[in-house]
Amino acid sequence: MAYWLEILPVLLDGFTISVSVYALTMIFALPIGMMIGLIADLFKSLRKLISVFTWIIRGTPLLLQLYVTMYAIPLLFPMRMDRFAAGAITFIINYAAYFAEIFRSGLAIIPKGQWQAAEVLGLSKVQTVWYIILPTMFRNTLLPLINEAITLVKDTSLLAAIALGEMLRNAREIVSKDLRVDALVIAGIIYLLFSLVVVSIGKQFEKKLLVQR
Amino acid sequence: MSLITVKNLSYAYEDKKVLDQVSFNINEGEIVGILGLSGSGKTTLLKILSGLLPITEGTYEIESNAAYLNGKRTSAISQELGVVFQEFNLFMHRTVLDNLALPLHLRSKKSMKECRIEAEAVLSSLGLQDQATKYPFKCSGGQQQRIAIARALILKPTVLLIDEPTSSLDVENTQKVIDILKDLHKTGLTLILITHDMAFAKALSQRVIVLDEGIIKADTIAENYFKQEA
Repeated sequence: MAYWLEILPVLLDGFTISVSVYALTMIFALPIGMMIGLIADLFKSLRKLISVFTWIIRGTPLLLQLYVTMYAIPLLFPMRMDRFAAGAITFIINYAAYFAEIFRSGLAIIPKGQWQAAEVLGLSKVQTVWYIILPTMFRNTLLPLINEAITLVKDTSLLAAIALGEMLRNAREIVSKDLRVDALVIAGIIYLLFSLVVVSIGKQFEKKLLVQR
Repeated sequence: MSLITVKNLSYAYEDKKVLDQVSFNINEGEIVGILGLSGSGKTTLLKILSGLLPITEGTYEIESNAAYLNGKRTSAISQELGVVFQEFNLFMHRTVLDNLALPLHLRSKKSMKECRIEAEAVLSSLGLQDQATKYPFKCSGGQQQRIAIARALILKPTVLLIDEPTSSLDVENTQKVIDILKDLHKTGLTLILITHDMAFAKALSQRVIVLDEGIIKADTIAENYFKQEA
């Protein structure tokens, strides 16, 4: 127990970084993904360009994208890349692409009649999108969004690849140093608890938004 | 007095002409049935009348105001016309009450609270007060039809345009809709029914306009038309 208490602060230090990247990703990737999804749905001319973007992002490993941001870009454009910023930006872009596709699918299944009803009722396009289309889209996409939010919890461990001191990297270092697996067990428990929090927040949204089903 | 005037209206999808030189008037306080089989051009005419499909040839005026200008619908349509779709197109993520209150709130800039009070009154007038807090998909087909009528009425239109009102209703609900529409007509509302249901058209229409392959085949007093058909 004393050993666990000794290593816990180091792991929690790493966890703060994981949570920070997690929060930044959710805060920025959701609206960016929503905008991309909406633009793809509304403007046919931009659909191709957006599908190329999502194909590249979804078609390559997140790990590779982290390497590109952290190591390749500073080589091409001489600059000093902050590890945390590189990690956060990569996660935001990656998740924005996934969210965009989820939102696009959620928009695609909204019946045309919803647009038509709003139009004959004299609602403007902005009012229609804001009051009718977006709320329907969120309901349509809530479950896959919650899935992505859970995946993101685990994906934050990839930050270790760019030597960012997140929780799993710290755990691995403790294991190598002390030759004991406790740090990995604690990290596993923390991930599970983190997922549990995300799942219960998701459940709250489900209750609020899907209760009428 | 002519409320709606359609003159020499033609419409084609690519090369296929679906409406050909269609002209008619709808007078204030009339109940007009627009009849026709599938492919007669009814749906295209409905889309044009309701403001969903800009006209390319001919004119369409509501109270002498152009319904479309430069390929865009004007406010004449949404100010004067209420539309009830065949599939109702209710907002499924909003309660029945808010299906009425929200459009009113957005159009009138009245507070949502005021709009909900007005919406309750309209729902009550159609016997839907018990459905107010439900979501539309929890309501039966007949109730959804009446909610769609209520939603169109909340904006106080002078004309109600109803597409295939009986397509998903049983006999009992069809009779309910007929009674409601008759009552609404008594309040001075002009009704346009687009339907292929002859019995329904006969029960309500004062005048019928018969479309066949995009051409008006008849525009006559309903009684005469149905006598002739019989």
